[in-house]
Amino acid sequence: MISDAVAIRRRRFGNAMTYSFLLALAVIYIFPFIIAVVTSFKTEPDATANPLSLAPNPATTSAFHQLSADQDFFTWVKNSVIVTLSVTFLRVFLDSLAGYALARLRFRGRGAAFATIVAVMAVPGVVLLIPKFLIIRQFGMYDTYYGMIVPLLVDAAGVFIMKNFFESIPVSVEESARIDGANIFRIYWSIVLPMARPALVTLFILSFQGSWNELAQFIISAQSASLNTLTKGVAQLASGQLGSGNRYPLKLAASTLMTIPVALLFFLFQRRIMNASEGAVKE
Amino acid sequence: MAAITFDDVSKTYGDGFPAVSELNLDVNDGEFVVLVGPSGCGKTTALRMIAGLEEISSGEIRIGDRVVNNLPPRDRDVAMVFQNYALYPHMTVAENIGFALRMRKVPKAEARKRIEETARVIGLVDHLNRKPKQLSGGQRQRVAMGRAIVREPQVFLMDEPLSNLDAKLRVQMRGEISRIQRQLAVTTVYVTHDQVEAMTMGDRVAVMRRGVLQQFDAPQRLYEAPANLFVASFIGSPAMNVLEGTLGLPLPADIDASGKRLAVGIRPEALSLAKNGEGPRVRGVVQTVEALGPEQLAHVEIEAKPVLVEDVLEGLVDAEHSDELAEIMTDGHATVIARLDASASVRPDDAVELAVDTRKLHFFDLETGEACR
Repeated sequence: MISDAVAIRRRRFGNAMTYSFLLALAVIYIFPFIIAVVTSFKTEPDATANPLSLAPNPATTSAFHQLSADQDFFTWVKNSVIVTLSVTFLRVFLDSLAGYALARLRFRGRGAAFATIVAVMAVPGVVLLIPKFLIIRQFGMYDTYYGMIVPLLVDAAGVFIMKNFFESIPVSVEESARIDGANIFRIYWSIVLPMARPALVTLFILSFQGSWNELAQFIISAQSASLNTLTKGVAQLASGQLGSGNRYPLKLAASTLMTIPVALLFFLFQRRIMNASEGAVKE
Repeated sequence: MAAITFDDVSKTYGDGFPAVSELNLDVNDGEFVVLVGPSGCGKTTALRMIAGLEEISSGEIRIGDRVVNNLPPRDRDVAMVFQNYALYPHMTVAENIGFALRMRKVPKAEARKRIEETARVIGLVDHLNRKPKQLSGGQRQRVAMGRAIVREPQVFLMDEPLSNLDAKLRVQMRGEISRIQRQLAVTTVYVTHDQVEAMTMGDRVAVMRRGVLQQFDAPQRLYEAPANLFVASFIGSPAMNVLEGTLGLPLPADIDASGKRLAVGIRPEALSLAKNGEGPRVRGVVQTVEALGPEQLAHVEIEAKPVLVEDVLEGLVDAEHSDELAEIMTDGHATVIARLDASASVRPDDAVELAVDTRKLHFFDLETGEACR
């Protein structure tokens, strides 16, 4: 009995240690974000004097007012929304089309095509920036929405995710649809795609977050201020101009606003990821 | 409705494996035909060739008078029930049943009428708005049936539709499928590895093995006149006792045994406890007795050699386990199973004499495995 009590106490102590460690890690991880949010409510002298303080003194929303008075900020938001929505919806559609073809259609060179796509995943994105820039120029898409959007429309990782998911859907469900009279596109659209909802949600979140936070691609594809996205705009704010002060509250207010859509998305969708084929077939 | 004809149909896979070899089979209009055999015998491949899910390597399949070799599945006017049901999980029962009608652009009002009629036939009127995951295994199976019925196709194809149900439900659904098939009189091809299902449901049963049709006959004929050792040991439960030689039992006059090595097949019910009097009999010692209520199965070891050729072993179990079975059976003695009356008093270790009903004997040529007729 005594040894039982000792064991329980030891386990509790062990748990306490584990959780303390995890909590410490979590705090370290989230601390920069908290600083960003808090600083956006500081005055500029306060932010300069006490950059790491967690209590704005005095608290003010002047940075946000300043942003909302700035016409550029709304241009950035508008551009980010246009690019992100176009990229996200088209990418989910195109990645899933490609994934379905690679998972289910029999055609010559299928293995090679997939191998190539996987190989592309191994190439660092930075390496491709200059070639992308050259191609965008060649196609006359430089400094247009097309140049910003088209190169982001398909990504290897998304095709990979979708292919793997489609392969997990029982073939008999598709065969059943074939016998029921559906053609390949109809099977993809009406049967397979709805069953792939968990993968689509994942891909949607990844694409949204990826294109919302994209910076390098926008730097190489456009130069007009009218095509600045939030990332590009905030980056320019952050690099600052001489004589304009450090403008920490303003920069961090913009950053804070920028994180809201992605955070909301995660919040909304995290519970929607579930088993799609439940009830389709008897395992 | 339509007849189905297999004309010298073969299917060879890319790796050269012959799944089906020169299959010739005529399924009559409105008939219920069961394809049965151990796993890997080609029955499912044959079914999928009718559906158009599997290409044909050579030969010709006709549905009615149309050659369907190159028709896509949707143009063959067949409906298929899959082993795992293959329901559309994101659709309700009504949408599942109605999907084929939607694909065929059946007007909405008519489609709704047909879906409701079908739901009545399969007994799911109150479940039309549920999703598959809210249904039990048996109900999902009915939805799969409903999807086939609503189409009013020329042919039903069923690929082991009951093998995922528990034993009780299986017996019930067996009756239900037979009832629905009779009611609709749609030509049906049904695949199963369960010979009891085959015997109870089929108008005729095609026994297959290693891609080759062994015998195609009415269930009772398969039982009473098996064409070869494989069919003899595959059909019937418990299986036929097959022994080398003739055990001194009298050969029917019309069998020419000269120069042949023979095996004799005795169904368990052809053996009974010998009473006083004449008649051929075998002697042995009871090993175990299985009491089944109305009858009992006595396992009796006798002085005889069991037949351990592949034909028999594969008929008893799946090919992959036949070696194990051979090992168990090669101890020099043969154990026969006798189906005895519940009142017969037999206990393990009893020495018994079993009378043999010579009218029910089967003789086989051990070289070819064929039945001597």
